[in-house]
Amino acid sequence: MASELSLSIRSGRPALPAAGSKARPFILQAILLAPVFGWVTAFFLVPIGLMIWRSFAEAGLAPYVTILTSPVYLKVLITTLKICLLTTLGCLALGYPIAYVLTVARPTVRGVVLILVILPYWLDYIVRSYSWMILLGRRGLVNQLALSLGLSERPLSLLYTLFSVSIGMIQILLPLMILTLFGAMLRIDRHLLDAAAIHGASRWRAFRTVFLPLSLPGVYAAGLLVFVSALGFYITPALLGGPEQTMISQTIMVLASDLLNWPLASAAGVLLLVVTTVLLALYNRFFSLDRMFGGVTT
Amino acid sequence: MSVVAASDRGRPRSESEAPVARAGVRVRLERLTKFFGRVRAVDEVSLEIPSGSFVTLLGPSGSGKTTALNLIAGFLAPDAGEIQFDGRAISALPPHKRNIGMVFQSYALFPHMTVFENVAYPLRMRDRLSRDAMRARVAETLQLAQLSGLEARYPRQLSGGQQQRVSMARALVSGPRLLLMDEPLGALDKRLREQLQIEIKQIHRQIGSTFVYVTHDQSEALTMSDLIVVMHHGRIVQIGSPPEVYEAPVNAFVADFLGGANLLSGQMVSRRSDACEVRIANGQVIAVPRGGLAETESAAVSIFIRPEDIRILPPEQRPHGLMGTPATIRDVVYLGEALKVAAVVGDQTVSVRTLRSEVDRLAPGREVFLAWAPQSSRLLPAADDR
Repeated sequence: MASELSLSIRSGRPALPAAGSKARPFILQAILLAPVFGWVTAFFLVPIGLMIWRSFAEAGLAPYVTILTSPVYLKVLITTLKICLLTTLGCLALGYPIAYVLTVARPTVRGVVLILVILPYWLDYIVRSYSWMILLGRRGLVNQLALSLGLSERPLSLLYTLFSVSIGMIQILLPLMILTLFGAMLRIDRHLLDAAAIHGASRWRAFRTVFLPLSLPGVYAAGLLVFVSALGFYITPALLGGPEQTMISQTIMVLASDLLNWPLASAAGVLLLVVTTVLLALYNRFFSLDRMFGGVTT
Repeated sequence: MSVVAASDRGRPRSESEAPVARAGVRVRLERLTKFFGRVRAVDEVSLEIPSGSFVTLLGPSGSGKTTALNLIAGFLAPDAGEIQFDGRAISALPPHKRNIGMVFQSYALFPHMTVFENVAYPLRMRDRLSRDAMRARVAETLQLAQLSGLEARYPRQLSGGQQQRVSMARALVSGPRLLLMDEPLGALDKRLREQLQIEIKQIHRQIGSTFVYVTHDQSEALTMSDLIVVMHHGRIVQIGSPPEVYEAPVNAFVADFLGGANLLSGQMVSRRSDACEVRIANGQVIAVPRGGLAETESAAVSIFIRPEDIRILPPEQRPHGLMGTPATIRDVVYLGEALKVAAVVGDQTVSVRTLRSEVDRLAPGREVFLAWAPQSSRLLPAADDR
């Protein structure tokens, strides 16, 4: 990152005549970037370095071998990926239509829907997770409704299942999915839909042949963002999931604070970091990352 | 509709076989009105567009010409009035059922499709053609648009001119009887624009569809149109052939918009059946053919003369049969093919186009006599609308 930065500084100023004046913008930029750089170094790079060092320090590769071979940890890894995938697909299924409506709606409708999308985002996700417990518990709202309507004989066990974890995480990550998709969809030229319509495409076919394919980069970006965010979830699976739905963050927590097995906890953390980095790198290879946050689509 | 057999494609075919020659749509707008908020973007526009004609909606930005086009296309629904194709009301028909081809200002090519796929799109949506027939039709249209060989390219790999041609080809491929063009050449440089004007005109002659063309470029309108519809503030100001609107504008706005007209303001001093006399700012009294103007005596009027109709003579020369006024030269600008001279008459500036060879005679500050044939001047209502 640092080398990229200095590269862009140099290539951005190709035609400066004197060496003295060349130094000045660099110093200025260095001063402006210093606080952020210091912050990131002290509170992000150093701790990560410590974590990586700690994972190897005591027993070399042994903690990694344990995690990748022991059925317990492997199961946690697979569960984590499964929950994240479900969450991502759920967010996509619910979020795509909403983002599309936002894109084509009149400004007033768009404002209202946007507020409805963003409002829950401001609510703390612990609160949101607890409210799902109220809804889904044995004596929760859903069960009482089902019993009183005679839809079910006994209370359904909705809580502490894959379903409850996924639905809680979907609800928390949905705004992220919608806003990312919306940003990507806004960049699709609306004249293209006019062009499709005037040349014979019904609304549905115009959507299928023009809008949908052009929105796919946005779908990949939003999907990746949601998936990566879901990887590190801790509170929601802890509150809404059972032992079967233990995710990797919970395992790290248990290893570090209950079992005090720091090398193993660190190794698990490093693995999580590696998976995330690989995903982002893959994405960057095929799509380029800046598009995720508002680069150009076409 | 005749479909070209797959076996005989490849060689250029005769013009009559080019994408479907049928009679163009007769378009009729009746008191068409569209509001944007409180603004009347299109204000009771009534217009009859003959079958197979090339009609240009000409006007400055905000004149309602693009809105009118979007109403014809069906992207917008009119607030009042009616649109008819061949006498049939089509206001309720969605765009995809109107059977129109359209070229957009931004081209609106599908960025995720190749040139071939872009041009094949209307066929895929509209016609049930066999694979081979579709290929043949696309190849034929690409040839007409001089795009052969670029089939596999994506729009972003094409120059502006090529993108424009793809956009044309896509609009033409399914042989629509009505073609809408929204400032299709606006983004191109002058040379390419002039070349494509000629090509579009040729295509129009070849396929016989009705063309409705929107532009703010008067020279484009004059070059290409059978009929020019001059629009201003959402209304039609004048409808006429290019010579009609250029030589006989109905008011100062049309006169000025169609290529820098001179409008000498003055006061009517006498009024006969065939001609009027007008006193202009420097006291000179000038005779002007009366035309259809109904202004009364002593009314404020404008005399309209095109810069190329004025001759610059020495101050003492008063040629018989010509009208004119003394003037002082203020500026001489070299244009290449001609000279543009600004001369001061009273408190007004008159623009004159003259031959390059006159450059030695003309210098700022020199006294001259501006002369013109009376029949090249016209009387217009006072120029207040600017």
